[in-house]
Amino acid sequence: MIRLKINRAGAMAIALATLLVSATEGSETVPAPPQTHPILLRGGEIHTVSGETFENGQLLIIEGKISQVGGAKLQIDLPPDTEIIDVTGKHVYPGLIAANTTIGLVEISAVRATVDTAEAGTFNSNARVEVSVNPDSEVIPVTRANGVLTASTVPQSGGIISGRSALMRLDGWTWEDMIVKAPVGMHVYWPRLQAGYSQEPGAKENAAAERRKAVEKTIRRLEEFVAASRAYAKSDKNPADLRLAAMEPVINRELPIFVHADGVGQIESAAAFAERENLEIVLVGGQDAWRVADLLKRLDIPVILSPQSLPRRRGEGYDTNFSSPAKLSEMGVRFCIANDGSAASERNLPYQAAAAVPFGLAKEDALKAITLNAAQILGVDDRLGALDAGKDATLIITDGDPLEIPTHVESAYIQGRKLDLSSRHTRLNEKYKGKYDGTEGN
Amino acid sequence: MCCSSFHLGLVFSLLLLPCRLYSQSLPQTRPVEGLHDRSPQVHALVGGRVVMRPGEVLDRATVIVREGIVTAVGESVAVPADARIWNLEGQTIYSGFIDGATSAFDDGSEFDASHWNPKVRPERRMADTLKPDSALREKWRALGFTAAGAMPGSGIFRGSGCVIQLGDGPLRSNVLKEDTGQYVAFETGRGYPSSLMGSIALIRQVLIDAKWDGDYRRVFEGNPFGLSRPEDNAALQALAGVTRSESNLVFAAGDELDFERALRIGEEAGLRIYFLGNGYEYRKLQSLAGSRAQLFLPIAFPGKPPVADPDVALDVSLEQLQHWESAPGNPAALEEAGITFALSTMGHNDGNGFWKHVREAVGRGLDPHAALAALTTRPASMLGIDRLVGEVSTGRIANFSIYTGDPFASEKAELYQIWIDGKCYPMPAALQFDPVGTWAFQWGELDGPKQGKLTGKWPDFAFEFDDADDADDAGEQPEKPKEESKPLKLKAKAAGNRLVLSVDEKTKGVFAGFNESVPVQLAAHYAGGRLSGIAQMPDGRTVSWFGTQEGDSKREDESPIDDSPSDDDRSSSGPARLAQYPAGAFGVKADSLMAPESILIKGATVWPCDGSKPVDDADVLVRGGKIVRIGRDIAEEVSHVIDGHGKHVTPGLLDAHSHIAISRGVNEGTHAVTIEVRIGDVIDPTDISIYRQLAGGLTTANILHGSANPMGGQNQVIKLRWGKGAEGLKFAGAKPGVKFALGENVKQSNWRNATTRYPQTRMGVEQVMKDTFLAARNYEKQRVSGSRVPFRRDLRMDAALEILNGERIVHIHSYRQDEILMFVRLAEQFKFTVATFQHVLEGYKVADAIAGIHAGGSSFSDWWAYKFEVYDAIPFNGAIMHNAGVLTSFNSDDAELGRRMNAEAAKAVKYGGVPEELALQFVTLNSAKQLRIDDHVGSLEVGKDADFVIWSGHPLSTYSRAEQTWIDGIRYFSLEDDAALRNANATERQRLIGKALATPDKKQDDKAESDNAKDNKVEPSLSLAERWKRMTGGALELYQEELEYRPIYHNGENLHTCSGDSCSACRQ
Repeated sequence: MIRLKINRAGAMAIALATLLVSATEGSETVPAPPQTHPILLRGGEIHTVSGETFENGQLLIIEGKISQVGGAKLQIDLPPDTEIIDVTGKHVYPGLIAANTTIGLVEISAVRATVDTAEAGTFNSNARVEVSVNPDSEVIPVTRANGVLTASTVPQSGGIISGRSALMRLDGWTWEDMIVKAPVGMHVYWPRLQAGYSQEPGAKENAAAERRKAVEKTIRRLEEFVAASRAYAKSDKNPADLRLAAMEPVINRELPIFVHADGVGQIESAAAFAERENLEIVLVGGQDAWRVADLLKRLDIPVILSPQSLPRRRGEGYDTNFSSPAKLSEMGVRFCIANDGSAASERNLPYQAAAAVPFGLAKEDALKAITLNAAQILGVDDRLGALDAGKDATLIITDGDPLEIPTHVESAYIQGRKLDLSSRHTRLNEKYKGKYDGTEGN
Repeated sequence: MCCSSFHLGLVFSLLLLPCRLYSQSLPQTRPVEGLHDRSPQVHALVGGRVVMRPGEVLDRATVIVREGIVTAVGESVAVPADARIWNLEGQTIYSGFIDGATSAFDDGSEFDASHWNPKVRPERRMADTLKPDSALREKWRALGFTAAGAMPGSGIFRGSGCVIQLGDGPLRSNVLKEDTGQYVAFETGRGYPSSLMGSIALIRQVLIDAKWDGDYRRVFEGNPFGLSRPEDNAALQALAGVTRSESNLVFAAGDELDFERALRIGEEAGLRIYFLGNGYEYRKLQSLAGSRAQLFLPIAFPGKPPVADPDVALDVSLEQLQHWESAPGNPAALEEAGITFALSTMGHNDGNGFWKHVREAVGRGLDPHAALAALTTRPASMLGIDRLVGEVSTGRIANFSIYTGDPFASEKAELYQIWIDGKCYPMPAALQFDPVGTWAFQWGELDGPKQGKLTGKWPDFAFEFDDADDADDAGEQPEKPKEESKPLKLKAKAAGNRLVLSVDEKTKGVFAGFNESVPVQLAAHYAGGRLSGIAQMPDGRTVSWFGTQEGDSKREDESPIDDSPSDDDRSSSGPARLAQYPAGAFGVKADSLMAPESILIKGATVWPCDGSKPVDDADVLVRGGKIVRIGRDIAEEVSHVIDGHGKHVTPGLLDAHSHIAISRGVNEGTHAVTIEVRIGDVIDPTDISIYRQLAGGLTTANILHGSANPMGGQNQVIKLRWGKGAEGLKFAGAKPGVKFALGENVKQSNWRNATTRYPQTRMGVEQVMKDTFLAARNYEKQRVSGSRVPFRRDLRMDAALEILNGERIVHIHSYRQDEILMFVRLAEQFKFTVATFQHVLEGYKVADAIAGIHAGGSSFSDWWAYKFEVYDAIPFNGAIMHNAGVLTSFNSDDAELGRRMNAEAAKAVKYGGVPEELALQFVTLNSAKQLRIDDHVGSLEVGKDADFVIWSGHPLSTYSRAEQTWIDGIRYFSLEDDAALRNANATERQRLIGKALATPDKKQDDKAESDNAKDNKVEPSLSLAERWKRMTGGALELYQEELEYRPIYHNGENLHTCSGDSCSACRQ
C-alpha cells in the first residue's frame, strides 16, 4: 500500500505562492500584448490546410499577419529584428475554430446568473451575443490551451429567432477587442417535426397531423416576420423597430440565417423556407443532413455537424452521426464540424472532428472541418482557417496531430501575439500537485 | 318481441332484486308495499343454437330458466306450462360474456388510506366504490357482456376487485362476488415512489409487513404482556388473505419486462401471480408459460403507423412497425403457448372496438373456442365464479349473450339479446322490425300506388312504389318528371316500431288529384307484416293508409353468416412471433451469435492491462469463454481464428458509472434515504444504448441509481450481453453495492421549489447518513434480541446493515473536497467500505485521504463547470489521484460518451502524463477492481473471462474504432454482424411499411386535412402593426412547446425544467 506523507506546511506555502483563484475576480490569464517584432517559425512541419504541408517549413509573421510561408528553400528576407523560433520536430497548424459555441455566455451552466444564452420573446433578431461575452471567463483560457483560438458564440433557444452570433478571438481585454466578425449569423431554432406516433392504449391517432399543424403555424409566424421585415425596410422606419431593423441584412442576403435543425422534415422545410424567402442559410446540427445531401448540394446549403452525438432514432446505425461527415464529403456538400453549443467542453473540438475519421472522413478533411471549412462557412476564410500569406497569424504549435488526444499544444498565437496558455486548470494542477510532492509511496 | 315485457321486467326487478339473485325461496327482508308480485319468473328459450361451453353446441335446443337460474338445457326439453316462451330460432345462445378486467366501474373516489403511503390502499373495495351509473352497465351490455371483473384503477396496492352483474337495479345487488383479488400496479407519482424500482421496493416491503402484521397480532392477542398494541393498519390487514395465498394478486404489467419483475416478487413472497396484460406478451412467452401465471388480456391493438409521409415514417421505429403487425397475433400466440387468459376491454375507450379486435385475433389464429372460453369459462374460473356462471348449463345463473350470427367470425353478427339473472335485455337488433319485401297498399280516400317494395337495412329503408302509371288516372299527373321507367323511391327512417317517410318534390303527383306544391307527409306503424299510417294531405285532410306484406319477407341482400376473418390488412401471418430479441432494430436471433468453443487471435498488438506494456505480434487463446494463453506463436487447433495483424486487442472496456438500461426512473428521488430500491429490479435489456456501447468496445457497466438523494439505491453491474433478458445481463458474482450522493443534487440546490426536504445543506447530508447508520445498528440489535415478538424485516435497514457489515460497498457521488473528506471520516467511523468516490472532481485536493481508506476514484476525464461545485474540476484530477495512490478510473455517466471510453483514457496521458498502458487501465482493470470483479474481467490474463475488443488501431487513438467486441467468448458485436443486421432491418422495415401503406386509412385523416386547410388561410392585407401584434401576442407560449430545446446547461438537460427524475444533470 502506498502511504502518503503529507507535508502540510509545504502545501500551504505552495497555495500561498500560487495566484489566488477566484470565480468573481476574473481569469488570471493576461491577454497577450501586440506583436512587437517579426517572428519566423522555422524547422517544423507546417500544415497550411489550404494547400501543401511543408516539412521543415518556414513561416514569417509580421504585424499579426502571415507574411510568407513555405518549405526550407523558401527565400525569406528577414527583417532585422526578427525573432527566429526553431520549431523542429513540432507541427504548426492554423488555430482551430469553434463554429457553434456558447463560450463567454455561459460560465457555469447550472448557475442561472452566469448564463446569458436565451433571451425572452419569440423574435430576438436584435439580440447580439458579443455584448454578453465575458472576456474574463475562465472557460476561455481553458479552451484555447487546446488550440481553439476563435469561437463563434451563438445565442440559444431564445425564441424562434434567438439572435445574432459573433466570431470572437479568444484573447482580449474587452469583448470589443475580441471581435473578429459580428454579426456572423441570425440564429433560427426550427420547430421540431416528429411523428408523435404512440402505441400506448388511448394514444391519439392523429397526433402527427396535429403536431404538424402546430409546427406549420410556427413557420407561418416566421414568414410573417420576414414579410414584416421587408415592409419595414421600405418604410420610413419611423417609429423605429429594433427587431425588424435587425433583419435588414438578412433579407438583403448579407447575413445568413443559421437554422438549428436536425430532423429531415425540419431541414427540408427550413431549406424551402430559405428558398422561398430568398435568404442565405447555414444549417446547424443537421443530423439528418446526409439523408437530403443532394438537396443541400443543389441549394448549396452548408452544414455545421456534431458527429459525437447519439443517433436520432433507435433503429439507426450506431455510427450514423460519426459517418455523416464522410457521406456529406462524398456528396460534395459543404460542412464543418463543431460542438453542439457547449462552452466548458469546447476544448474537445478537435476530437469531435476526429470522431468522423474512423468512419470514412479523411484525416485532412477532419482538420479542415475545424479550420478552413469553418472559416468559410462563417465568412472569414480571407483571414482565418489556413496558414496562407496575408492571413492572420492565428496558429498553434503542437508536438503532434492535434486531433489525437495525447498531443499537446505547446504554444499559440492570435494575430502574431503569443498567448499565455495557462488557465484555471493548470494553476489548480500546479497548486495541488505540489501537495503530494515528496510523498512517495512505500 | 320482448319489448312489452321489458318495462314490466324493469319494475319487477326493482322490487325484487335484493333477494332474487340466487333463489326466490330466499326470504325477503323488505316489507312489500302495495300488492305482492307473483308473476312467474320462468322462461323457455326455444329453438336457438346453444353453445353450452366452448366446443359443446346444441344446434336446436331449449333452455329453461327459473328464477334466474338455468334449470334445464337440451334438445328435447319440455317447455313448462308457466314459462314465457321466447322463440330464438336463428339465434345463437352463448353463456353470458364476462369482461375479465375493467377499471371503468371504479368511481375514482378519494380514499383515505390507512397506510403511510397513500398509494397503498389494499383495503379499498371495488364493491364499495362502484360507479352507480346504470348507463355504464347498459354500455357494457351493448358490447355483449353480462358480467364484468371490476377492478380499481389507481394506486400501487389498488384494492380488491369484485364481479358485477351488468343488470339494472341497485348496484349493490348486482355484485356477484367480492374480493376477486388484490390488484397491484407499478404506479409512480410525485411522492415516494417516483420510480419503477421504488414502486417494486414498496410492494416488496408491504407484502413483508402484511405477513408480519398478522404474526404480530396473533402474538399480541395471545398474550399482550410487554407488547405495544399493534397499529391500526387496515391496509396490512386487508392483505392477510393475499399473504396466505387465499386471495389472488393481480399485477398490471406496464410492458413486456414487467412480467418477469412481478413474477420475481411473487417468487420471493411465495405467492402466485395473475396479470393484467398489455399486449406484448408474445415477447415473453417462455417466462409466462413457465410461470403458469394467468392473464387478463387487453385486446386493443395499435392503429396504423403514419407512414404515408416519408419524413414522418422515419420516426416510426421498426419495433413499432413490428408490433403493429404482431399485436393481433398475440392472443393466438398465448393460446399456442398454453397460457391461460381471459379477455379484458382495457385499452378500448368504453369498450368500443373490442369486438373488431377479437375477430382480428381470431383471424390471426386464435381458436374461436379459445376466444369464447376467454370470455366465459376462463374469466369465470379466474374470478372464482365458475360455479355460478361461464356456461349454459343447469344450475348456472341465467346469463346469456344471444347473437344473430357468430360474433367471433363476422362483423355482421348482431347482438340480439342479453340475459342477466334470467332477465332479458333486448338489444336494438331484437327491437328492430324488418319490413323488407313486397307490399300491397291501400289508401283511404286516395288514389295512391297499389304496389311497392321495401328495401334497405335498419334503420334506413326505402319505399319503391311501382310506377304510378299503374294507377288508373295516368292523365292526372302531367307534371310527373320524365323518369317514368324508374319506380318512385321514397326514403324511410325506422324508429321504435314506426316508419317515417321522407317526402320531397317527387311525392307530388303520387296521389291522383293532388299536384300542389306542398308535399304529402307520410308515416306508419309497423305490426308484424302490416303497416298502418296516415298521410297528411296538402289540403289539410288526413288520410289513412295500410300496407300488407306479401309473400316471402326475406331480405334480398341477406347472406349466410360470413365466416371469413376480419379484413384487416395486417392479418397475414398467424400468431405473433418474436424472431429476435429485443424487438425492433438490432434485435438478435437466439443462438445466432458466434460462440466458438475456442478462439485464437493471431499476430495482434495485445494490451494486457495488467500493468505491463502492450506486446506486438502476440496471440491470445480462448477456450470455453475464458482466456487460456497469451504469447507468441501459439499453435493450437481452434474453432475460430481472428487475424489480428495490424489490429490491437484490449480487454473489454468497463464503465464504472452508467445509467443505461434502466426502466422508468434512474432516481427514486423522493425520500432522502431509499437504499431499499434496486437497479437490479429494473434492468431494461431492450435499451439500444447497450448495443451502441458494445460497438464502442464496452463490455461491462456499473448501472447506478441517480444522485437525487443522499442514500440512493442499490446498483447493478451488468455485462452488455445484447439480446439476453434482464437476468442474462447481470454480472454474476459482482459485489453488491449502493449509490450514495453528496452536494448540490442531494440538497436540491438546482431544483426549483424544492426547499423543504431534509437535508438542504452539506451539514444535513452528513447527519442523515449518520442517523441512518445508527438506526441500522439499533435494528440489528432488535433482530438478534431473540424476543418472542415477530421481527419486522425492514428492507431499508437491511441494506444499511449490509453496508455496515461490509456486504455492500458504497459508490459515493461527490465533488467538493470538504464533502469528500467528511465522507472519508464517516466511513472510518462506521467502518464501511467505500468502493469508489464517483465523479470526485476535487479528488485531487484530498487524494491522500481517499487513498487512506483505500477507496477508488471514478472520475470524468475532463468535465467541468456544469454546476458550481465542479468549477474547480480539472482534467489533471485523474493523474493526480493516480499518482497519489488512488485506484483511479474514468467513467462516462452518459450514453453517448460510453461509446468511446478508450479515447477518454487518453486524457490521462494528455493531462498528467500517465503512461499509456496505465491510462488504459482507467477504463479496464481499475474499474474492475473498483467493482470487485477484477478476478473475472478488466485485463487479458489467463483464467479471466474472454471479454475483449479488436480495434482497428491504437486503442487510445481517436482514429480507432472497435471492430469486434466479445463477451465470455461470444461475439456480441462485429462490423460484419452489424452490417448484416442493418440489411435485415432495412428489408423488414420496407416490408412493413409497404404493408402499412396498403392498409386503408381512416376517414378522420381527411377531416384533419380540411381543418388544416382552414387554418392555413392567410389574411393578406394586414397592416404592419397588426402583423406585428399577431406575431408577438401569445407567441411564446406556442413556441415554447414547439421549440427544440438545445442543451443549454449540461449534457442535454436543462436544469430549469428538471424534474429530478430522467434528468441526467441530476444523475451525474
